[in-house]
Amino acid sequence: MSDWGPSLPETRVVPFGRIRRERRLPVRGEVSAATGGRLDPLDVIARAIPPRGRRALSLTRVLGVREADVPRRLLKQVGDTVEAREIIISKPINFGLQQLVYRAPGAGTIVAIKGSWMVIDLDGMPVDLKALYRGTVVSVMPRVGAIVEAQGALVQGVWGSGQEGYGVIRMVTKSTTEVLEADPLSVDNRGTILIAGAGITEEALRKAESLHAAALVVGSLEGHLRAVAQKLEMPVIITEGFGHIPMASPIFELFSSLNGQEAAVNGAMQMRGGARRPEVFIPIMGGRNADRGIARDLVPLTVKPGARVRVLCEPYLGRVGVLPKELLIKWSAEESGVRMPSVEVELQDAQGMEQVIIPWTNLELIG
Amino acid sequence: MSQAATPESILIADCGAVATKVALVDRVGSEYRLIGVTRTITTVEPPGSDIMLGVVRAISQLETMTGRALLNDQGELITPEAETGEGVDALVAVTSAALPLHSAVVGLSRDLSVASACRALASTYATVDTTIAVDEETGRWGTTAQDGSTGGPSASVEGLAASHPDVIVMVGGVDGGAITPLLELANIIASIGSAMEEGARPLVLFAGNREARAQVAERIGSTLEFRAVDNVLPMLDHENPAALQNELEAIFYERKVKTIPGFAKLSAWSARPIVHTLQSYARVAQFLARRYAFLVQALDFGGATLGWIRADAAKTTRALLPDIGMAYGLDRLVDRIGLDRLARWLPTSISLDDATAWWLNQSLRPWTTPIRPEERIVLNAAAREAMALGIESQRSSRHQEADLVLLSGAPIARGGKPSALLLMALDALDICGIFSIAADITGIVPALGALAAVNAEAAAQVLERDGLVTLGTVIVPNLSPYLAEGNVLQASVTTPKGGQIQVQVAPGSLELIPLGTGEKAQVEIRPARGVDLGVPLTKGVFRREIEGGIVGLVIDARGRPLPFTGTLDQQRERTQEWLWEVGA
Repeated sequence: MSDWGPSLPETRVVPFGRIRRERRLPVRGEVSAATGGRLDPLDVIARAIPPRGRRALSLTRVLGVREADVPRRLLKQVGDTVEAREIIISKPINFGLQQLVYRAPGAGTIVAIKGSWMVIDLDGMPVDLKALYRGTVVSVMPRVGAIVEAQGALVQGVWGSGQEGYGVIRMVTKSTTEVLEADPLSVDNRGTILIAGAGITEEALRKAESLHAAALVVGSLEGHLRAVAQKLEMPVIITEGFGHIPMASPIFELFSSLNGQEAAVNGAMQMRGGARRPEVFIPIMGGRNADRGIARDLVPLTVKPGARVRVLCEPYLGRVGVLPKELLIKWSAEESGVRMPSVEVELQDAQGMEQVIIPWTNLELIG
Repeated sequence: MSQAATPESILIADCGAVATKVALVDRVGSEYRLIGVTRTITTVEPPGSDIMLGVVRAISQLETMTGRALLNDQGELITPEAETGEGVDALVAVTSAALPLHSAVVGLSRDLSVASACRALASTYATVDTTIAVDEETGRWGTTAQDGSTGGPSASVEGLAASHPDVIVMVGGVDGGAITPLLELANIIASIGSAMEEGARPLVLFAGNREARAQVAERIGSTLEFRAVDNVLPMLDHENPAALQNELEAIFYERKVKTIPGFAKLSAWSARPIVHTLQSYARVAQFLARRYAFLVQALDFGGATLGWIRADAAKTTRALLPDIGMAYGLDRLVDRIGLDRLARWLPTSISLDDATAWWLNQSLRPWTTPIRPEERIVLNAAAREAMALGIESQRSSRHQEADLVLLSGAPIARGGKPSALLLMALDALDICGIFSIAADITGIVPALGALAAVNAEAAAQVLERDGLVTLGTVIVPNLSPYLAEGNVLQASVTTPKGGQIQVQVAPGSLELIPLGTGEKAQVEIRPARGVDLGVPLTKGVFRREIEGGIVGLVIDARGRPLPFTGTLDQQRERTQEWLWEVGA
């Protein structure tokens, strides 16, 4: 019989460690970074020109050219670039005295011609891929991007609005339970990563955007503010969930200890098909932080007595505690009458200490 | 057990998008019983990225629960069962963890070939993201000269070019019909396909006029992977969906299921090819339909999809509705349905802000289990709307009839109250008549179809003894809009012990009559004029022996569609009353 090694999902809150992150262009382009190169967060490591649009049209329809005649009427071929209003195909009319022409609707590239159908990718604006993580290029993916290795502190969120930002960490609430109002925000917050405890008002959220804050990291967000956050240019990350939930103490304490340091915020997330979490990374150089020793790769957290866990269900949602010394998983009846495997957790955080029984599926490791 | 013998001890693994369940079935005395079921988180996503991690964990839990060794020291499955009782004779597995196959349907006529293809795809694991029909374009493919100089593009073709389908299903023309329009379609698909990056190009599946097959293949095959099957609409009055469905199923398995990390090992452990959970569930519904001559409607509320099966003695149809999940898809469901619609199902004691937060949090951490009763009410509110969406998308399948409704998946697995589950089904299903509602309390019923492939007797016995619990029998009369004032019907229920209950059912009311599981009562109903029970009456009276359930016998005289009128607050108060009336 095998030993049942119970497992739990995890959220990483790491004061010092080594991470590797893939940085990818949205479409194929040119990668300028070289393996071994050291990177600052704002360094451009790759550039691509995603098409502004893709035009697909029938030359037969727009010009009245028979499919068989298309090849000899074409002035451009697949792979050719075209300028706006440049003639792509022409057909003589009125006994050859005049030409009926089709002009490029914009600058772009002819990417396909099949029969009478042509596809043109219209040039868009160049997109620069920034390093975001201060570190070293350990691998280059030609035309795609690079893998960056970096050392420092890492905090994973649970939801992100999708954008990226870089700035200096600024604690804007004094406690994990405080909700950020608009008043304390000022022009001093321009370019900073705002860290707030339990939440933020809509007014404060909009003010943070207008002040050009680099990012917002908050314990929770009211459900109706999700759509607001998604439309902002700055990334928003929440660490606990939607509703009104204080930021977990270990996260708040780590941010407090790093107040004033530069950090990168990556708000991208994906739930399925290659899940990834939004995160805040605070680069820490070895020389400046010699007392921390050598940064090590992050290894998965393990379930063991005394392991730090976070509760994922009401009424203790977001509370942090530890697993008991004797890890006894027992069947317990919940308020609703359902029996499920549960464990006694000793909650130990800024909100106090207490022993509670929590269903096993409603816990995660944190650390 | 010899290799040729029927396996007697069997592990069933059901790997869903969110949860992996493993059940042990074995012979106990003269019959097969469910020995135990365990549930753990599915591990196809990082950091695990191996479906076997979850399967092995669930089996290990089962070892702890039953005290029976199932894995050896190397973590391999012990099979066949040893004389000492260790191991099992076989393992069978089903999965719904794969992402759906994204498809685009391109055809000549919206109402003919495209409609036929979409109907065929509704019963597969493919989602239809884009459709293009030639006859919908403004006269021709794209507009002609605009502003006197340049031609306009086709918006729908550009929509296809901007999408990223796994498969383009190309249809059009009856067999022997005109070929030229299909060659134009082939050019469009070939040009769009060749504009896409290599490695991201879709497969083209042709199910149109068979005479055009060679020329279409010639135009597309040099650029894109091309396959052809029999015409989905060979004649105007005859659809032939099977070939298209079978090929799409094969593509789904090649491209989505077999690429699940760890799938090869799970396949090696499984005594039969791993099938999709819905395929297995359809077999269960088919079994019940044939055994009892029932019309069965079976629903599976998955973490990422909603599965829907309709089975009668002659035919079984199934539909998989992606993006209507009870976990991963909840945030999208909230956006799609809108809070006002969802809020109708929440009693006034639950704030809409709390409910919204709970729906969103469940989508972020799909594996968590609600423990407070109000959280289950909130989950069931979303489940009602998911079912309604399912009904809407399957309107043509006439889902409004049933003898038996089966419920499986998240709302049941998360321990919903039986009366709340029954009311949820009544609220959402557009079914009138007399039917029973049963729930899969173990969460393993959909996978029993796979068990039947290795031991049909075991599957049937476990299904009836351990798998399903009858919530109750319901009578839902169809009320005429011209119903006269007064009661909808009079019911008389005579229990085997001689007790009699007389009920006058008023319009708009829900009546709950106590009639326990296994108890049968003689029921006599006299419907008022304008009330249709959906069953034949004898001299204006319906008489039948009816079996109860955990909840009992329910008479639902609220009418269909449900009377949601007035302000949102009034609607929510009505929801609260309905919950009280059935004891939910």
